[in-house]
Amino acid sequence: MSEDQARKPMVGVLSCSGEAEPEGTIARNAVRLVIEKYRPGVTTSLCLPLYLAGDGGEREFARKYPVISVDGCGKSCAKLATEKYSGEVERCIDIHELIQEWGITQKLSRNHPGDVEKEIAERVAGEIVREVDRLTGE
Amino acid sequence: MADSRTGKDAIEIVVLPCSGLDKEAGSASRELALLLSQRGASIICPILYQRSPKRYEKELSSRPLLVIDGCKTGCASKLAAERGLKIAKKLTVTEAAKQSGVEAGKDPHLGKTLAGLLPSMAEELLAVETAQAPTPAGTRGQFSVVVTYREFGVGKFIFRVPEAGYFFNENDCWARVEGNRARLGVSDYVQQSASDMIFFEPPAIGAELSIFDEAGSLETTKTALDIISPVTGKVVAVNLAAVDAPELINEDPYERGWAIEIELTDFDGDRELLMDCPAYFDYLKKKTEKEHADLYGG
Amino acid sequence: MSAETVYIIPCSGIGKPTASVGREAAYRVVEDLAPAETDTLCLSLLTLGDPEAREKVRENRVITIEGCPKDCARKNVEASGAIPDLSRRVHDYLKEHRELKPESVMDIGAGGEKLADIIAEDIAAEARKLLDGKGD
Repeated sequence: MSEDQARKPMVGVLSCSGEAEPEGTIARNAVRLVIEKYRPGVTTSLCLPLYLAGDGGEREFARKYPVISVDGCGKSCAKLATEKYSGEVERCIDIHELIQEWGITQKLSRNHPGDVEKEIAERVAGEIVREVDRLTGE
Repeated sequence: MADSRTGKDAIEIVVLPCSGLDKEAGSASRELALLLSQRGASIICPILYQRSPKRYEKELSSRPLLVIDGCKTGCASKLAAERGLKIAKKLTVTEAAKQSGVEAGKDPHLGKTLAGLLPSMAEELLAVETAQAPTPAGTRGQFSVVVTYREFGVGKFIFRVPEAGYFFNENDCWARVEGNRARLGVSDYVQQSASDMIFFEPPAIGAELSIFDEAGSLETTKTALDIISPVTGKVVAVNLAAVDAPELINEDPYERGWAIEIELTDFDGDRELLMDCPAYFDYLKKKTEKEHADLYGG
Repeated sequence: MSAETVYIIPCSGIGKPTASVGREAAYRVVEDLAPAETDTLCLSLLTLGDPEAREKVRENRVITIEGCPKDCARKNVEASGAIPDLSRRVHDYLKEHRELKPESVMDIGAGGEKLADIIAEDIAAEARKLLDGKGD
């Protein structure tokens, strides 16, 4: 275990960028909720475009710390990117699957998130937080 | 040596025009460069420079550089910034023409109206040549020693500190000292914390600065901050590449992203208040770890 | 949708408010200002080799919108084997409109909204120019 890991547990959360689908926007918003509001200091967001471009410390971080990928759809870009450049993810959250599981059928907006989209983002954030707590032993 | 056509003294400068072919302003940029070449200036072909930068290495290292952009896309400025060139002055044809109430056209042929403004644009560009002290031959190659770095991580952030040759104050600003000159800038910690630089406003050349004085101001997408001078002296140069492209300070805060150059007047006295590289490394490590702990606990 | 489409691809970086502005601007172009001429697609699909995404950018025009000077959208498009026709940085617009700084990643605020509008108008115009054969 590195000196960093011994000092404080940290979890990386990597959201898909999902411009084309509303679930992509929900993924981004859920991740921001986790790192800003629910588990600041313990989690850090990893920027997928930077990750793919190979810039920044994202890939390095993902090699050292556990990563939760949050994907908008079954194409699983965030999970695949992590596996390609850094290693296995600890957990992959598929928002499209969750929405089906929760029985949400209405059409969602990708750029004008309303109450429904916000509520889904909160529920997804809850799923992420549960996973973060499991990984950090809270 | 006087120019035989104009009778004026030949000028020792290098000009980098844009190569815009699809607009009148691009043609004007080329003609303006040709006007300056009639006065003795050397022209850099931007396309050749991209492919074979060594061709112009000698001129660029010994003469001030003037940049001419046809329009606000700023291709020539961006090329100069990418190569880390120090720009003595730049002119954007469309902006200069607007000041005279002239709009550059879409037709790529140079019209009479815009052509008529070129001599005054040339004089405007040349005015800086006397305002800036040329780099003395003895300082050529200064600040070109290869810099090596140490780094440490906090979370996903990795901070770099040079191993030698730099001196830091507690505002995380540095002075890179060589001989009686110093270049000043902000540390990697500052550029990461403050986020993307969008403006850099330097002090005027000739300004006298004391240690702790403001040595330029920066604005980022997140905040505004001052560069606090770690040393005392007179401003002899400003990094115009960083003025034009402040993101240089993010990309390369210790080398190409330098802010100003100072002729030192009391470095022995100033040095007592500064940290050398190893001391700053330890200081910064403790500071960032404490900040993280204060924000997030643990 | 016309025969040729201009794909507007923002970087969608999650760490900076300016990346949120870029994403918002892209949506305004493809949904409000030029819905018949433009579309967007997921940058990560492209970079990870999705055949459908790659075919779209190879057969059509591409404009990238960069949330910061790291130019991830352009780099990732190039890594997938295509070359953007145009690349615009949110920062360059912010330099012209200093007062319109976005507030945060999740809520870009009134300034950010206005900046997104300005960017969207410009990008929509550039997209039309590309389709008319008069682009950069």
